[in-house]
Amino acid sequence: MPVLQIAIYLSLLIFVAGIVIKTIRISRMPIHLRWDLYPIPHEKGKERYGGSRYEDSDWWTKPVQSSISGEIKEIAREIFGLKTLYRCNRGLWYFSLPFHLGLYALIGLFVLLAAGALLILWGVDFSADSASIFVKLIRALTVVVGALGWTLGIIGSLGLLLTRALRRNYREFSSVSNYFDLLLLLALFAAGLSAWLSADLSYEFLRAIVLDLISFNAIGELPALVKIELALAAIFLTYLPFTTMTHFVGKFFTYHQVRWQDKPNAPGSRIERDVIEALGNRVSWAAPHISTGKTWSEGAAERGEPGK
Amino acid sequence: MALDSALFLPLPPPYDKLDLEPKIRCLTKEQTERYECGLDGVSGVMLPRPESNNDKRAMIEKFLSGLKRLFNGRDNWTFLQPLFLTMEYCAKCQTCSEACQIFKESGEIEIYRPGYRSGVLRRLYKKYVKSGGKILSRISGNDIELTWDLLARLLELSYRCTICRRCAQACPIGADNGLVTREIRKIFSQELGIAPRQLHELGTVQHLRKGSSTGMTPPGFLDNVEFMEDEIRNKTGLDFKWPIDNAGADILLLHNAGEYLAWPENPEAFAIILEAAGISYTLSSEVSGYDGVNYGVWYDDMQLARVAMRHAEIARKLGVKKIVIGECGHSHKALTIIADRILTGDLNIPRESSLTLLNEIVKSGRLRLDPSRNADMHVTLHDPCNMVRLMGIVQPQREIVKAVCPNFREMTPHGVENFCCGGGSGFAIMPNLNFPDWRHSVAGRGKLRQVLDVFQDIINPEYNKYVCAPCSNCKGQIRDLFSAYAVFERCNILYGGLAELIANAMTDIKEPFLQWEWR
Repeated sequence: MPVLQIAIYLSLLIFVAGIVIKTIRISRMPIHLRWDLYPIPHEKGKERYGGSRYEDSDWWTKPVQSSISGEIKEIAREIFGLKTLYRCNRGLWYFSLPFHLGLYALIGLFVLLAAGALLILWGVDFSADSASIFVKLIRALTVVVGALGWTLGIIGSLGLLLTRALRRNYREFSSVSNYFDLLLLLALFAAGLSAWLSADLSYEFLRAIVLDLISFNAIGELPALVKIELALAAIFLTYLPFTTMTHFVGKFFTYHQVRWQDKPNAPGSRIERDVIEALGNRVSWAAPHISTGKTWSEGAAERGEPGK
Repeated sequence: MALDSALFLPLPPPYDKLDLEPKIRCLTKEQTERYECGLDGVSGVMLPRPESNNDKRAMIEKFLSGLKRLFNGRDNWTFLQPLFLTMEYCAKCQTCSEACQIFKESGEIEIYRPGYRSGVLRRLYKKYVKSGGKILSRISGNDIELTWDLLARLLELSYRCTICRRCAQACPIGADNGLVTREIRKIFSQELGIAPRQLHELGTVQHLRKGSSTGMTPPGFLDNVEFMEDEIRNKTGLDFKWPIDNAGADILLLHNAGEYLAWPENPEAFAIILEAAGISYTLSSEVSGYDGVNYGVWYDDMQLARVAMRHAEIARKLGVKKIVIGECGHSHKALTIIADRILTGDLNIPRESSLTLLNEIVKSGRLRLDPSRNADMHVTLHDPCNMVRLMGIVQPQREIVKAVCPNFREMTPHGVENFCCGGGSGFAIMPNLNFPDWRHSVAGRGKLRQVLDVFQDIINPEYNKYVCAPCSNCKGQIRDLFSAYAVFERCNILYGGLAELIANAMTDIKEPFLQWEWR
């Protein structure tokens, strides 16, 4: 098996393991105090202006009016439109949006390549001459999505790189890793575009590679640009879990577990049980007013002469 | 570094002339030698300079110990997950800075960027808490040297943010630089025992020990109530006793005790309204029970928990059905939201906003109201961050103001996108050295701008203009802000609470309840 193929398998393994480990680590953190932030989109009927149940008299006696579709719409606007960035930092949005859409298009490209590979594996004629409308559609979409991915990705990553390097606001606060991340992705997008244009216009090579990877066959000879493209993709996938680019994981938690987490505490609830357990932790903070050595419950119950 | 007010964003007329800009006083030589002020020439915390290098080293060691606790699940279970997410996922896109009124109004002074403060903590976290941090910091170019000067400035810098969380609202990733401000303050308080006196010794400690963060004791509270009962009788002819310590009442009403001392017309208005509406409620004269504030929400989890539990215990003892929180923003947020999870078992007594209750009363028709009694003034509404952006209470206060004030106009932006008054997170009660000057000229500048803008077409003193601010802390800040700029004298803009507007519209009261005079 070629070294490149082994590297691709390893990079996929590291990527998946890295994301899973990060997700588990964050989700296992102890229950925290509420820190809601409005607007919360699942507040049915109030999401438009950022209202909450606390506007209603005796709110705890009323059934919770929650709108999952409100949340889904908001998440979709964030993912596909970068809504908050559009509202609050339009200049950056002009580059960040194509950058992110380019990345999504690459994911779409992989899915379409995998779909083609699976069809081939199942014996479907996936050639350019195939009579199947479905095959023609997937082939056409693969080309379009791929083209969009490379182009938007280049525009976005180049734009963001130049913004960081040329605008003082960003330059003074950017670190080596901020530039490296963008350079790596720019290189990947550029390599992908070059490989597509010069050697793989209908993605036969990339589809074959995906088929070989799925079926654990050794990948065949590849044009140099395709090899470079794959090597960069492997480096990117290996590197990604250790960077802030995993903010797609973090954002799930910042939105769903922190700012939109408005579930009130209720007697006998899971929240109450978890908090009671946390209140049983012994305090080790050292300031004089803190009840060092006691549990949080015991410390919080002290009155009059706290800490004594 | 010293601040130059000429670089701040210019204000609208009539304050577009620099000679009307109040000065940020320079500290004296003795003050600069005694207290840390190297950040921006302002001292908010009044941190004394250590006498020896040993003292400096000891402080650094304690800070490091506190920093490690901050990222430990047993020691900081209260906020570890949101803090970790902010530390790990900042993309340094500066969108938070675009939303920060302190940063923008200062003319974009770099140290006031929300991400700047968080960036310092982030470097310390990566170097001293994360595995391999010391080596990786040097390789990545993010190294930081932990000196006493850095710590002292970081402490001061944590008191240059009102924790209004506009930055968090703007962050595309959901990072929260307002939370970082609070957590920095927490290291200093919970590990080193350092916090502004007004928040700690004269704040939460006094609140728990004496009865109120104002120093008012239970007998003092009862005297104040008697005084207010007399005032109501003299002003309105209405004669009734305020319910105190009435077990079995439906509601325990928790005012910010500052209202009794600085703005008695607000609790008086509440008393009149609730009496006329026939609401079953009580106040409490128990220690801590007549002061709804919870300063712990700004700087210390243990104090936050102690005050919140105390309030709940008092309500439990009285057997009330719900706690209603008066016009105080951080009381709302502390008791209803942040402390919600630590009120377990029978301490989990329902909590409701007074804005909701007042709106129910106004809509119910139980009061005879004539909005024309408020027609001689133009009213705008200030949105307290803790009630609006941080709790989603947006409409009730608007419905009330629109019902009782014919001449209402909205500031821009408003609602959940409001600008902070500039006095949040304890600023309004910190009179230290030249900090109030900074609070007026920088922190409060955005709010002053909004007020001047909304009334710009009637800015002349011939028009009565009222900023309705249903929050004690905001009123304190607006009072000081307006004093610094002589806003009442120059533009005839007054400020006050919401309940007063309702009382002023009540036809049962013959004379105007609201006195058009500076307070």
